[in-house]
Amino acid sequence: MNEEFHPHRKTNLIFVFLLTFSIFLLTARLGSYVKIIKNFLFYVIIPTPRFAANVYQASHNLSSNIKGIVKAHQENQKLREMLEYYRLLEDEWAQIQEENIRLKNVFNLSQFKNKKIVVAKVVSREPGSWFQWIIIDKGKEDQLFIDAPVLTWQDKKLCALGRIGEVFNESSKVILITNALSALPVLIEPVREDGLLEGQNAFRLRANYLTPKKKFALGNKVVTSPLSSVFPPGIMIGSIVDFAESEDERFSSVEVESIVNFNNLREVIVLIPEGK
Amino acid sequence: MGRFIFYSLFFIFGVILQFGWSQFLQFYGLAPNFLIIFIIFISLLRGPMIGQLLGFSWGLSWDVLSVDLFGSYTFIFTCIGYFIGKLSKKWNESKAVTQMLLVLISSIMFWVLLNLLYTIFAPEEFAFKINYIVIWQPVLNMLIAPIIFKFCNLVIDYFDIYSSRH
Repeated sequence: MNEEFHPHRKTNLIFVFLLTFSIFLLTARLGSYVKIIKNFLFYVIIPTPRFAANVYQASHNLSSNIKGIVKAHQENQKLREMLEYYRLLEDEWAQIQEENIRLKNVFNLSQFKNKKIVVAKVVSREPGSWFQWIIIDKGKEDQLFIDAPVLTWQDKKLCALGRIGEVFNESSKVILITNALSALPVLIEPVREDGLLEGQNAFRLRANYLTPKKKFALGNKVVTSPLSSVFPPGIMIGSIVDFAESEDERFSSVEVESIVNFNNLREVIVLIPEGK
Repeated sequence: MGRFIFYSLFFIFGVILQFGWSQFLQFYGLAPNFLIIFIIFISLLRGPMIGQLLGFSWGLSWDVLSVDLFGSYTFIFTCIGYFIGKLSKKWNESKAVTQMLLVLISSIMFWVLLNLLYTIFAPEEFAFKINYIVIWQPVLNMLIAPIIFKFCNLVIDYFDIYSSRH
C-alpha cells in the first residue's frame, strides 16, 4: 500500500509545485526577476526554432534543385548543359529582379527623411497567434528599440504592420496591429476623421471613437494619424469594409481590413530615427 | 539516462515542430497545436509525472517565445499533462476514438483556460477574441491526433528496442 502511495504523493507534490510556479509567473510577470528569467530562456530557446526554420527553407531549396537536375538528365549532354546554364542565369536574374524590387521599395522611402531603415527577415511565427506577433532577425545590434514602427509593403505600397514589443541582441518580437493589445490613432480619408484602430486577433480591425454624423463609405482608405506617437503620418493601413455597432452611442465604429497579406510575411522594415 | 535523453529530444522536437515548422504547415494561420497532442500522448503512455514535466517545459517555452500573458501556457500545459496522466492505464489509449476525444476536450479547455487566465490575471491588458482559429483548431487537432499517436508510438517502439540493445 505504502509503495503504491508514495509515487502518487511525489507526483502530486511536483504538480502543486509546478502550478505554484506558474501562478508566480502569472502574478509577477512584470517583475524584474521574471523578466531576467524570460530573457535568459529566450536566448536559450530561440536558436532551436530559428535553426529549424532555416533547415526547412534549405531543404525546400535542395529538393527543387534535385528536381531540376533530374529533368536535365533526360535530355542530351549539350542541351542539358545549355539548359543548366540558362536556368542558372534565369535564377540569378529572378533573384536580382526580386532584390531590385525590394531595394527600389526600400530606397523609394524618401518621405522618411532623418530616419534609418532596417530591413529584417521574419524568422518565427506561431500559427495559433497568427495575427498577434512575429519574431524578426534584427535587434539591439541594429539599433532597434521598443515601440519602433514596423512596416511592410504590399503592391508597392508601404503599410503599417506593427511595433517592436520586445528587443534582444539579434532578434525582436513585433506586436502586429491586428493584435488585440494594439491600439493605434488613425485617419480616415477623405473625411479627415481621427479614430482609434484596435486589433481583434483577426484579419479585420475596428476603428472606434468616430463622429456618428460623418459620412463614411465602404472602401474609404485608413492611414496612420499625425497623432500617432509610433508611426509617421499617412502610412497606409487598409480600408473600411463594414460598419460596426459602437458600445458608446456618442461615437460610431467601422470594420477595417488591413491591406497586408499576413500569409506572406517574409521581410519587414523598421524605421529608426537618425542618431538613436 | 536513456529515458532522459529521449524526453529531451522529444521536447526539442516539439519546440521545432510548433515554433519552427508549423508556420510552413499553416493554412490562413490555421495549423494543429502539436504540443497539446504530444502532451496527451506522453501523459497517457507514461503517466502524470512525465506529462506534467513535459507540459511545464513546453508551456514555459511558449510563454518565453510569445507576447501573451506570461505564465499562462505553462499553467495550462502543466494541468493538461497532469490530468490526462491521471487517466493513464485507465482508458484504452490505443483506440482512435479515445485519442480524438481527449485531444478535442483538451484543445477546447486550452482556449477556455487561456480566456479564464486573461480574465483573472490581466483583464485590462489582454482581451480574448474568438476567431476561426479558436473554433477550428480543436477540430483539426482531433482529426490528426490518431496519425500523430501512430507516429509517436513507432518512434517510442524504435527507441525502446534501440535502448534495450545498447
